[in-house]
Amino acid sequence: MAQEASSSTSSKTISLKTGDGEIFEIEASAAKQMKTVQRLIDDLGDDITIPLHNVFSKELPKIIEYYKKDITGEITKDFEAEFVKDLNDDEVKVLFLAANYLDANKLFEFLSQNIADRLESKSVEYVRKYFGVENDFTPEEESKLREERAWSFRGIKEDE
Amino acid sequence: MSFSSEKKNHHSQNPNPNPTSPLKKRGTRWSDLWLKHTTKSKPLNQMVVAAAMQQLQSLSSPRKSNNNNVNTLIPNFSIIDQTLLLSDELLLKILSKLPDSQRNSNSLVCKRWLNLQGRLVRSIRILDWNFVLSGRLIHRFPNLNHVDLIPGCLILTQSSNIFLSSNVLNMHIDSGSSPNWFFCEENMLPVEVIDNGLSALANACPNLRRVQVIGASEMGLLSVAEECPTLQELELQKCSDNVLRGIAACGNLQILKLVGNVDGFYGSVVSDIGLTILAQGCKRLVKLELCGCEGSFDGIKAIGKCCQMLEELTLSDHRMDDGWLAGVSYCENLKTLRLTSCKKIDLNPGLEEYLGSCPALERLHLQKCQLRDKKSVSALFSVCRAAREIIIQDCWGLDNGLFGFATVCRRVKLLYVEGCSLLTTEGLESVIHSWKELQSLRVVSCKHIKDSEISPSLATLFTTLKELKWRPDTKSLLPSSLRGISMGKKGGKFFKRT
Repeated sequence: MAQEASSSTSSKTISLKTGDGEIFEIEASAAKQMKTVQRLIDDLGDDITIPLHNVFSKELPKIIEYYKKDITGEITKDFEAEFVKDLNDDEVKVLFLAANYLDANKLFEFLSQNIADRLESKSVEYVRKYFGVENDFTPEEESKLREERAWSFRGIKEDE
Repeated sequence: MSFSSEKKNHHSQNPNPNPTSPLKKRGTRWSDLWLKHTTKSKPLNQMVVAAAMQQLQSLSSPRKSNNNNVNTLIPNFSIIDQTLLLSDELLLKILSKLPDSQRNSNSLVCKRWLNLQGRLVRSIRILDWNFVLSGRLIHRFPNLNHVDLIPGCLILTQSSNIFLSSNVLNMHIDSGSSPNWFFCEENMLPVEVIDNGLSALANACPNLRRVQVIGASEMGLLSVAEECPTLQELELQKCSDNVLRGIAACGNLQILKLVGNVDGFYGSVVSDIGLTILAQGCKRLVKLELCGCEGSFDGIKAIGKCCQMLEELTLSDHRMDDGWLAGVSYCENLKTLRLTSCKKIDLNPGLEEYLGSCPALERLHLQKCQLRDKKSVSALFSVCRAAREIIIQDCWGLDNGLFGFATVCRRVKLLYVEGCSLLTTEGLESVIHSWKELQSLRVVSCKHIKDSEISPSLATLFTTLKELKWRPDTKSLLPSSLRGISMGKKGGKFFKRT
């Protein structure tokens, strides 16, 4: 089960095993960015394949790609735009959950902003469909909310 | 896998469940229990969520319409609400990154979203008092920091077209309003109602930082003072000496605006009594604004002596008794003195030797004031002789003689003069030459300051300045392609282009 770091002598690689049984390698410095992985390394040692039950072979490569760029300090706006360009909504969501599970803060922040961007200025129906949320308001409740919004209060801008 | 045993394992492994739960509006479905704990890695948890993730991924992208199949067992999931996989914390993360303009549509998505979105709202302006009294406000927005209750305290006729506004207050009035000039008093809710709303709000939002209210009494304010120890900023309109008894209980108050009397809207008296009570109660005041307040030397002196941290004092449309200016010099840490919309400054400030001066003063700011009186202006500059910045905007009556009194301020680094039509270049020059530390000069819209009258020595002085904005001639603000402006036959203006 133990897999030794094979490549360069200066940086160690860690083996990660996804929930569906595939094994991927990442640099130790990239693994440090994912706090969950780091914790497991601390507990289990870095010679053992780290099992990640909640992450799968579909998304782990993308995550590894992101952190490969991160450790070389090359993450730019262009790279991030490229990174999410071809992801469809479901893929983004799955990546987001994986980033949360891995406690990978930078990727998590970036993806949450991306999801927010995808939802920005979209209608209520679109947002419902995006997440698969069911509307549990009765028509009366909904009209009461709309009424409150029109007549009962307003937001305040910060400098007022 | 038996799901009931999982639940039991849950409780034993997780003595500290996720603090952002529970969702009050939905009954707890079994899915909620395990789904909320996906953020922390417990092996059993992981397996359960892993199965769900696999299920999700095996589903094809286009989602069919939602059914209520959530309550079935994991392997039989057809469609699930994906936001259930997001704990409250995660969903809040996404919601907090969306712009405020989307708040309303987010609230309409479903009840859980309404709840979460409401938790993100920190500041709100109330238009309808029933929203407060019925508890809806507190139910929907539990985490408020800043509440503006003023529009809600006024009985607004929504359909009226007449909009009455002053610099502190705006309201709609009916065309059938009675002709006496206290529009606001007639259209305000009774004091008890306002107090009830205030105490309901204070009880429910102990983290209130900033409140704006009109027509409250000391009872309402006492309840706020008791329940909200973090209250830092308060605006009280229609304030009186009695009401100030309630304010004195807000020990942590730092920013306070009191409005006593607004012509045409309401009349109420803040006098030395109130100011002294205030001074003794709110020793941490940093900024104080008094609009339409009475008082005199004693009140200002009390504030100066008790509120050692006071840095900014603003008087707007004051009705203080003569002789109050000398009290300002007791404010030892005062950095900014501002007078706006004052019909008079201080017609009888007393003898020069008793005036004193503010040792730490940095800025004197006069806006829309009547500066015609010699004694007032000379006393004002004398009290503010340590000022480093002098800003005079749209003040009437400031002629060369009066401006000459400013030579007593020896440390001025910045002068900003706007809209002072009696000042000439000569008058300006004689004062500026005595200010050896002047670095920054802005002269805007002063029609008697002419470019042609700039003397060589003034021009030399300009070269030594770090910043110079010289636009005394208002015509220079128009684009140069216009030949001029004239009045057309029907009274409209039109522009001729070259």
